[in-house]
Amino acid sequence: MPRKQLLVIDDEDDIREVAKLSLQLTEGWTVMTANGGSAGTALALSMEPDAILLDVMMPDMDGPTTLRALQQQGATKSIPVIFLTAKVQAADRRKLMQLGVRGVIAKPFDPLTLAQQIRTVLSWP
Amino acid sequence: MGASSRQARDHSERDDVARFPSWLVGITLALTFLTFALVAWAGYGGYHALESFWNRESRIRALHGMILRLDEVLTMSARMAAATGDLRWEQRYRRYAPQLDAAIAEAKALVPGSSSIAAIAGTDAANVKLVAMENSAFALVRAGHLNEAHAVLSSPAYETQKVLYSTGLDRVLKEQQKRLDGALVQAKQRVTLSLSASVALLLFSITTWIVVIGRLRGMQGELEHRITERTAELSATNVEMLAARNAAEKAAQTNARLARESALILNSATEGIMGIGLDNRPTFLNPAGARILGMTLNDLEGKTIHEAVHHSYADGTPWPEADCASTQAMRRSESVAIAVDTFWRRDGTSVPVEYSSTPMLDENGNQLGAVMMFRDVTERRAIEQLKSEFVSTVSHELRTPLTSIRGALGLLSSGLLGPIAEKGQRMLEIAVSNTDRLVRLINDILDLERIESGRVELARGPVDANAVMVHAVEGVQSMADQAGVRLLIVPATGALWGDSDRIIQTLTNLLGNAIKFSPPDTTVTLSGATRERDFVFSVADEGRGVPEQKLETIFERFSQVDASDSRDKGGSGLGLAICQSIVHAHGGRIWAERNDPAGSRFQFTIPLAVPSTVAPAAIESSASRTILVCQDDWSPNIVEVLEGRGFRVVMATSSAEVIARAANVRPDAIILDVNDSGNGRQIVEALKSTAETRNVPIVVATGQFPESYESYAAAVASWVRKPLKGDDLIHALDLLDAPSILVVEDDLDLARVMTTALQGHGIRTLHAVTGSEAVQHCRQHEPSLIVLDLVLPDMDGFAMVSALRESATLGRIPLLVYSALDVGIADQSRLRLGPTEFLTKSRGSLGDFEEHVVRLLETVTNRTEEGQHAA
Repeated sequence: MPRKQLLVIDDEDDIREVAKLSLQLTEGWTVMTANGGSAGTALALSMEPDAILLDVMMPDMDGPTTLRALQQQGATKSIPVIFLTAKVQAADRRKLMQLGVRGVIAKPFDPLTLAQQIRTVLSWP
Repeated sequence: MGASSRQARDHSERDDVARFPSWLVGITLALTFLTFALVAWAGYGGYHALESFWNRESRIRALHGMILRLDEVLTMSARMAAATGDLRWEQRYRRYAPQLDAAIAEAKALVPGSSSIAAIAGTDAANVKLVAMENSAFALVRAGHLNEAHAVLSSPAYETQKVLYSTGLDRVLKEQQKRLDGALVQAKQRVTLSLSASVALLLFSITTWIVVIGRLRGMQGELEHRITERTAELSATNVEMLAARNAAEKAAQTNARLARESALILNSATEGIMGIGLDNRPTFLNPAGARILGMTLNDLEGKTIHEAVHHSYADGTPWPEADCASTQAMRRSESVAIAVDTFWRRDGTSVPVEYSSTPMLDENGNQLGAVMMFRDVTERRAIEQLKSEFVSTVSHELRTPLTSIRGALGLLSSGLLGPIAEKGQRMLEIAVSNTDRLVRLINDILDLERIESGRVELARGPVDANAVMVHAVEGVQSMADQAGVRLLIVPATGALWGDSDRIIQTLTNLLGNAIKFSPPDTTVTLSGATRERDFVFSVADEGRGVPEQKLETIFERFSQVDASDSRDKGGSGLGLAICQSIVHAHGGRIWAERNDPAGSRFQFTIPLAVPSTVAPAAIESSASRTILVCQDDWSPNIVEVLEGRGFRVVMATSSAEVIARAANVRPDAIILDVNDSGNGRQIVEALKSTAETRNVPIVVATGQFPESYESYAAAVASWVRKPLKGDDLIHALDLLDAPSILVVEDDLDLARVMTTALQGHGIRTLHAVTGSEAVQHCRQHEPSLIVLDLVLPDMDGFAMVSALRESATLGRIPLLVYSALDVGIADQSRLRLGPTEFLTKSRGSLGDFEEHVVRLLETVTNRTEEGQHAA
């Protein structure tokens, strides 16, 4: 099985780094990061990752806007997206799910189980 | 003196006056008039009689003189004629003679009986003789015999006649005078009599007048006495009245002062105060109210309170008065308190208000109206909004750095980045656990703020009391196990109306607290009971208990029995405050009490569902698919993953419960946690031997595959390895979307071989032993394909196919007839449903069978996709 490739889009440098390190160390996945929506969509187009972790609240281009941009590009349309959010209320979670993402993972996440959570959401073996 | 007794006396006085003899006055008046009439009549009669007497007397006196003078004239004329012979004397005589006769006749007429007197007196005879002698004398004169004529007239006979006549005339006159005097006396008598009578009558009438006046004077005296008396009374009353007036003036002054004070209070109140009459129309509005509403009482004139200020919802749509619960409650003279509502100003703008209305009653309890107090909450709402946004923002802003911290610490302490010294490791663990605690705290603050601000509506619906109790206990079971605390559920039934997640959250919180504060080897008991219109949940422990003085304050934020609790027990200090908020939001009540003999008991109420709203259909009509999860170490993550994927999760903790609930809930799948003691097989067999649950796919979670793995194979749809991971589960549950094949086969060994083979292709396989069971199953869950053996215990394959053909959808299911019999062409037409293939058992290998099934399934799947594209 080829190594999974993931894209993390988050405006927080530290969070990107922790997430990247966590996924690399626990699963050995290849992780690319982008610090915003526009950089993220461009990278997604070139990299065609297996999944995208997308922050919801970002300056300039927020998570839902980025998601729409990804959904509108043929090449990125079918890439599963998981929201990464500090919004933990069930109602917020439902609203985010309705935008067409595969799952929502709450911040702060446990770096040791983050990969596991992604597998769960995406039904990866 | 009372007014009524005075009135009575007035009546009696009027009666006295009425008793005065009015007839007496009448008679007196009549007599008086009569007297005056008589006096007038008598006076007039007397006067008239006297006047006629005097007239006659003077006329008679005149006539007497005239008669005497005429007699003289005639005698003299006769004698002159005789003396002179002049005939003119005769002419004079002739001229005066008739006058004398007329005078004598008049005199006779004036006094009745004069002629008879005269006759008696012989005057008339004398007169006749005299006239005769004088005529003879004149004849002698005319003849020229003057001497003879003279002789006649100077004859003694003439003289005698003359004396006779004069004497007679005197006598007549005297007689007439006498008669007249008699008449005078008569007249005088008449006048005297009438005057006397008049005087008598006058005296009588005067007497009666005196009597009347006397009587009147008596009455006047009496009246004057009474008037005096009354005056005295009146002056006494007046004194009383003056005193009363003084008192009234004082009272009025006091009232005016109170009214001024009330007005001052009402005018200076910062809240709007409105008086409302029984007709629900405003009767009073204080200045603050007028300011808030931008209108005066005049603007409200003729409108009900609802029409005036409450006519539309906050979004501007009209709000009919009949739909307004608060107005209706006010009409029923109930107290009303509304925390958030909208009033409308005169200029059409709206103002957010909080208001309360209280009925106004008089001392007898009759309603006079109502008083409404209201307050402009624009600022407060703005502040609340600000606060809630602030809390939300802050919690997000805090969470972002915490994410990095937690991630970094987690990676460090995991050892993935390299080995760490033991003390360093311990420090990292402290940092991780406190970061987690900080996250919990932030989550709880946000949760509490959201519930209390009412920004998050409760997702109310029918809730099964027992289900939430079971769910909550499952959630804390591992925690209890770690603490060595027994958890006991006393089953209870109750249909509630509320937000099941929030109720479970409350129960979990209370159970968690109870476990935290319970020493090992004690029991935490969860029970419930219906009480009137509520259901009461009760969580009792045998721990150290809550001190009496803390029972009330324990629900306040960050309230702890012991200052070190938060650190030691890992709570946020907000758990009970959240519980209280949730319960209050449901309209319930929460309280703590001491539990005998030790520990504490936390109880709260949730309203029962109104019977009509809890139709069983409402519970079952959940659109999503239901998964029954049976496991003994509960992981919220699993539930979250399942619910995040749109599944409805029902929990069961014991084997008996899972069987009962499976039959009850009819889940789309069962996730069965099989522990090492190995009762899993019994549960699976029980589920498979029950008609209702036979075809519910079972996903078994296990730490190790059982030795008798083979014997499970046909019964279990999928396996997941413990510890449970969400992705494994979801993958296992993907089979629900996978094509399902119904194998209708009475030979159990063959059926097991077939299903095992098909499961190898990732195909979900269902099994029916009899034709009727197969038909029933098809009606519940339409399979993608039916594999049919023709020889069955109850109905044969032909009967089953014709039964399925009755339904339009079931009649199009693809069919593989896999039978030991060769089916002839004629029979084949009776066996067709959708795309139908025939395979004879003896001729085809298991590989052929698999190939047929896969091919048929592919045609079905393609067809479905084409259909979707076309659509």
